[in-house]
Amino acid sequence: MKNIIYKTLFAFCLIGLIMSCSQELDIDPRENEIIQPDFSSLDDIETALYGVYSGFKSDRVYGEKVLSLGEWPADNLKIASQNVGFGAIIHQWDYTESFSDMEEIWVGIYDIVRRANFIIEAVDNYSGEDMSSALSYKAQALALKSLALLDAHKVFANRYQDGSGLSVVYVSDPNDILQKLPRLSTNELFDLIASDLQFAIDNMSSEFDVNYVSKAFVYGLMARLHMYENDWQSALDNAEDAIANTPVALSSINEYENMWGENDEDGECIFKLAFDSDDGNIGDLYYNDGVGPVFDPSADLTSLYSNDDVRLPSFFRQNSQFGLIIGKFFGPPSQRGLHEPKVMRLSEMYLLKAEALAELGRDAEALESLDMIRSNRIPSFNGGTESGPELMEAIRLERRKELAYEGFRFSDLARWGEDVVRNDCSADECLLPSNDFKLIFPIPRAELFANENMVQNPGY
Amino acid sequence: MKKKFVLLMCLVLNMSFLAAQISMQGTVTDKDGLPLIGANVLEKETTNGTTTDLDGNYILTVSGPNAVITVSYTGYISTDRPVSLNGNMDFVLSEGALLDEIVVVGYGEQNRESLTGAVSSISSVEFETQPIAGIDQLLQGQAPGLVVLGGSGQPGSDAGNVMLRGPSTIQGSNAPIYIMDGIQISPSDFAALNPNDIESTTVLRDASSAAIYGASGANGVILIKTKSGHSGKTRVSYNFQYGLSTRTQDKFEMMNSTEKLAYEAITQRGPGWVLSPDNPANFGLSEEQLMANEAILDSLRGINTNWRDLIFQDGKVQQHNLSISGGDDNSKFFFSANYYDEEGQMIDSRFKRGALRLNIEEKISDRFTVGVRTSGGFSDSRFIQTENLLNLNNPFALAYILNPYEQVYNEDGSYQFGATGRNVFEEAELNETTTTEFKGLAILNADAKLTNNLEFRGRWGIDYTGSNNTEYIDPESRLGSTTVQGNEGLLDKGHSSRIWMTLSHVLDYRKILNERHAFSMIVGQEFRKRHINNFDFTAYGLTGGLRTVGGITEGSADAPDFIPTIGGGVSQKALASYFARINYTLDDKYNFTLGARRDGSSVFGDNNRWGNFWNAGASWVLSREDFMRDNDVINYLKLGVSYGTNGNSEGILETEKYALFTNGSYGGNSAFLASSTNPGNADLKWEVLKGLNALLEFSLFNDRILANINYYRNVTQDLFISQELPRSAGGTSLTINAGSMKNEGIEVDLDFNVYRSQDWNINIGGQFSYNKNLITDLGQVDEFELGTSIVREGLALSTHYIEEWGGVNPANGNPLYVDDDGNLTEDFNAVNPKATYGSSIAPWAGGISLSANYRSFSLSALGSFVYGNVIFNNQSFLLENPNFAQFNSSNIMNTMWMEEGDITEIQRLGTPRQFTSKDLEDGSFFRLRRLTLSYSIPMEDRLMNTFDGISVYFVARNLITITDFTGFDPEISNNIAQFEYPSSRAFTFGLRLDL
Repeated sequence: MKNIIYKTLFAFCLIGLIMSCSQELDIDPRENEIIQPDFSSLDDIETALYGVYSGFKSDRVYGEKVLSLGEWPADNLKIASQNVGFGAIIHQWDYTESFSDMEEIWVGIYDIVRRANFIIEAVDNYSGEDMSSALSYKAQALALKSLALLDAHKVFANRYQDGSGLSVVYVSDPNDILQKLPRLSTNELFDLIASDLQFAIDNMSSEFDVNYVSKAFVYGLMARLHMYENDWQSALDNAEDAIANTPVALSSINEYENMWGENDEDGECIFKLAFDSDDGNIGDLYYNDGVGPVFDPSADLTSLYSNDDVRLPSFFRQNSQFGLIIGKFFGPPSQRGLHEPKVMRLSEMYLLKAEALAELGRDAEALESLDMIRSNRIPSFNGGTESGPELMEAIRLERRKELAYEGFRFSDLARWGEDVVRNDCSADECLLPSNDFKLIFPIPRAELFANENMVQNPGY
Repeated sequence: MKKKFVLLMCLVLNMSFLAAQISMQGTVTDKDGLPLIGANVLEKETTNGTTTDLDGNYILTVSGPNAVITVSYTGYISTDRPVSLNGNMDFVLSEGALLDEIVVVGYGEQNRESLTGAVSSISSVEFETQPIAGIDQLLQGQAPGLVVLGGSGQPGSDAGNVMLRGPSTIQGSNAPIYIMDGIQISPSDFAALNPNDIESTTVLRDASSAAIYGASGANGVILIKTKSGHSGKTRVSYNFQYGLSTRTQDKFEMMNSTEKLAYEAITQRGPGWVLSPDNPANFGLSEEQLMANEAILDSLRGINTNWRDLIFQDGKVQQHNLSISGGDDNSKFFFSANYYDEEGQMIDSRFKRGALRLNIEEKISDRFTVGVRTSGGFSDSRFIQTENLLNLNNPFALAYILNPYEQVYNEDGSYQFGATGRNVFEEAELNETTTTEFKGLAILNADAKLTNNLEFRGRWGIDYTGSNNTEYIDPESRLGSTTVQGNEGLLDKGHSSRIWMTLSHVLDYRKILNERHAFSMIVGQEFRKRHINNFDFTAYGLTGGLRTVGGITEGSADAPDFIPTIGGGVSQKALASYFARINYTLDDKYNFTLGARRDGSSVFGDNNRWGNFWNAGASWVLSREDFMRDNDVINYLKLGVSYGTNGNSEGILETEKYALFTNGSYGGNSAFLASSTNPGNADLKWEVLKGLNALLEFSLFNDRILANINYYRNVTQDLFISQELPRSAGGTSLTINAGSMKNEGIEVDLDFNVYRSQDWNINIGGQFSYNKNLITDLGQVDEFELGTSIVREGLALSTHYIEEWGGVNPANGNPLYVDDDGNLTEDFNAVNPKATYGSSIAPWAGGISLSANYRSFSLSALGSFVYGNVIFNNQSFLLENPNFAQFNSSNIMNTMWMEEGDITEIQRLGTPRQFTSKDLEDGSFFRLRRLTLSYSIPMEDRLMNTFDGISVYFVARNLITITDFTGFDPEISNNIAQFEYPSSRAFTFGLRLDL
């Protein structure tokens, strides 16, 4: 009997030895060749930060949607006769909550937000030596997150009344992918973004590289934010700071054309995304070299330029087959349509400054700022004389002419409470009244489906 | 033959197996003295055996004086007796239960009578007569509830669909697991294993029996045991087969040249339109020019190329199988060598395999035995890369859609490229796609009797599969010079290797107390790990005429089209398990079983890594009770009930638990991109199947009728479902555990000994199953669409979901659709899809077998069927669609609506061809899978002085198929028919020699 017990015990020991294999279940992710950044390492944080930048290159964001949703529904273009329907839903305001573009830009934006939140969380937990680098990464992440959220606000909210109107969702936790967050009011969201941007200003290095966010860019974002909420004094202050912190000057008449068309120079850019040949061709949103024009320039816009305006040859090209085409992002011969999206330019800051000053009743200063643009675009320009409502009208007109096709027009019209009027029109519908709910895009159905705390925009 | 065998012996083994062999003879009769013909006489624990002749006589040479002879006969109680030294032994068998057969169960063996669940044993006798490469295909129609659909008929391919008791999961695989000699092997690449080596196959159908495999058992378990050596005379067996295979019949006809050209004139495509006098382009032509056009059309009408006859071929199949087994009291071996060569029905489709096996067992002492079971198989196939797809790369589609007025060659002898731009013969000549595969399986076992009651069993196994794929597209070929990147040909090479390692240790304790209480217990542990590694490249610019890597052009920035693409990956996963089981039998009448298993998998995160599974069962042999003992009608009666839980982790990725990042770049810096499509779920856990089984087993009329009936109810909970995420949180979808599905069914297995006499023995068997599948919960949603089917609560999985066809409006030829209220409408957009057409998974399935023996002749047949499934026939979208009128079409298009009043099912030209219920067809079929006629030369024949056995046989496979399905072959892999490589009809002659 003893013998049996010993042998049994022996056998169990034998098994026990072989059995201690449960740690074998902890397979290193590297053995499955998946990428798991080590967020305690500054190098990995930096690499992940480039992932935030990279998010903006996606078709869902600046690779297409920020531009297409900002321009196609507006009044600067018309459907080309060669176009068999590309973009027609947006151009003719036929979008609904299940329209795929809605989900795409929403996903693109919140993909960026989550990537930025990983950086913010990692820096908050960082305990290494090089704290100033870590903080500058966090500053960049916060700036990029703010850019994404303000673009989401521009598409899905925008119309500012009293600040209690719903804007978009603000997310802080990158790990809880089941969280069902509600939309914040514009005031709540802007308070959060403003404090993020303030942190970014305080911790951003003062270096300037046009392909990366800088202090000037953060001031510019702050100016945009205050513009959305009609806080014109703050908008003015920040626009001035943005101009002051930008080491380059406003592009002159001679330099201007080099920023557009086949060229893609940095010029007066404050922030411009670095695109590779395999990133999207934003030029194809208007003119596709293989297919032909997608959208033609509208005479409503082209008739606004004086003949010697440098923006005419910069933004438009004469095509032997199709006539006048939109060539602002025409791209190099090796890859037509490849053009780096210019997220923020000095011109926008001068125009914003002018708009803010005019709103504050400081017409003379506003005119000075407006003329900075006009004199650097129109050789024959000899200084303006407008004031009052006429001045405001001139500023808005110049904003339309300067920023055409860069994704601002539709939201500007909504912001100003103006109708979308297409006189040179090839669409079925040529007028969108300023009180129409379609001036703001619908929250995508996919979000509403999975998040019961989500509220749809009125009308949809 | 003898010489060959000696040579082989020397090559293979260096072992002595000298023993005093004894020749035994005698008669086997029943109680009434009637001789039993064809009774099995076996030396126990060996494969050395023979069968009795017409007078019930047998002659058997056994290994020595200690040998035991086992005599068995269908419907009779088997008898074991030690040999008598005078060389003469007669056996009298009494009629009785077949059921004291020993069956292989999880981690052990058990008496069939003591089972509490549903377990089927599949005879492997017929495996040896059939030229089929894969083991899984041989299981068709063999066990109730086990539905095996052939799927692709490509030589060497695995069965398309193996499912036990209905689908138990939505996202994952429904294939059962396969355990060979105690080690789980990969459920694919069966073609590299030799089916002739199989001794027995057991299917654990119910959840309780499979529960000992815990986390892997939810789809059922198939246990395979390979042959072993035996002590005594060395036996050599050689089996040869040669056969021809042809395609099974189509149920549709294509247009001939005259019809096709007329159809083209109507649809305004192709030469029939270009040369037509009705074509406005020809209005200005002179009479002469019109005559010339007509002459060309006439010559085209005269060409009637039968593409099917050209592209399909009669395949040849041959197989050689040699096995040698033998040994002595301490050493036993089984050796086999196999060569298999099958040509497919499609030109340029071929599969060849060579396989070797060596199973050795060495008894080191009375208490300790070690053994090794190894097999290595190498296969080489030229295969059809594209099948079961509606595109021009699929030669099965081309065989139909090539126009009959086109030809293989132009008049100058060059290849002709017709409307499709493809020429199958040119591609077969210039291009090639090959795969070579090696599969090695090595299993070591050590068995130690620690005490008389306690045994330790260790199994250590490696299952390796390595494959190399090569695709070569010649730069001179049409494809290589036009469509390939760089237009200069292509060379694609890939290698993948997969290794499964398994360690398994079991302690087995058996004890009988007071001759009433029989206990057997096992406790054990198992660890499995899988490593997959693969890489491939595709290179371009094969300009030098070399078909190898040396021939490729190196790409550069100036020649970016020639830059090769490179891919590869590595993955690992591991599973650790502990398990225990107790069986207790009281008075040979009351059986109880209780088991538990705990599994941990690396696939899951720390939160839910371990899962616990358990089972319990009881059975009662009523016929052993006193009150049943003298029942003349019912010889045997058993009732059983069992319950068990099983897991499943197939269908999710090893990386599912991680928040995945991918690689990107920004401004020349590499970047980590958090992926919204793989946000990771560390909480994911096993799918759990909970199954109840009730068993009724009986035999009647002296065991002439045997029946085994099971009712089951399986509920899978925590189904893997892809859940939509709030996009604002940064993810799009996530696999989570939600939802449940139910399978409920009944299975009947019947055996009927119809007639038996001195010369005759006729048995009929049948097994039928009915399974009702129902999705009961989907978590977040009530339904979601999956291709052309809908996954909806309250419906069966794979339910078709499509708009209802309402015929063709005779007034205008427009297609009609049926809306929700049953009204006909021409507006397709006004009609919602319906889910009323049924599922592609058949609720009814089964098989019928017949075996008849007359003297030395035997005839056996096996047919199987599925009933009640619906298949989406996507082939008709290509064959019955005016939009593809440039290709040949089904001759049903001759009935296209042309003028008011036409009553037809083919809508008028110019109307959109939508997918509708018209494309759904009943997929039920009955197929006579196998018909075998064999003749064994009687023992008394003089030849038998040299041979222990000679038999010749003739096998017809898939001889008859009865179905209403009009597509290619109703036996498809999934729910949609689109020119999958069809099953073939094969006729084989075989010869088996034993010495």
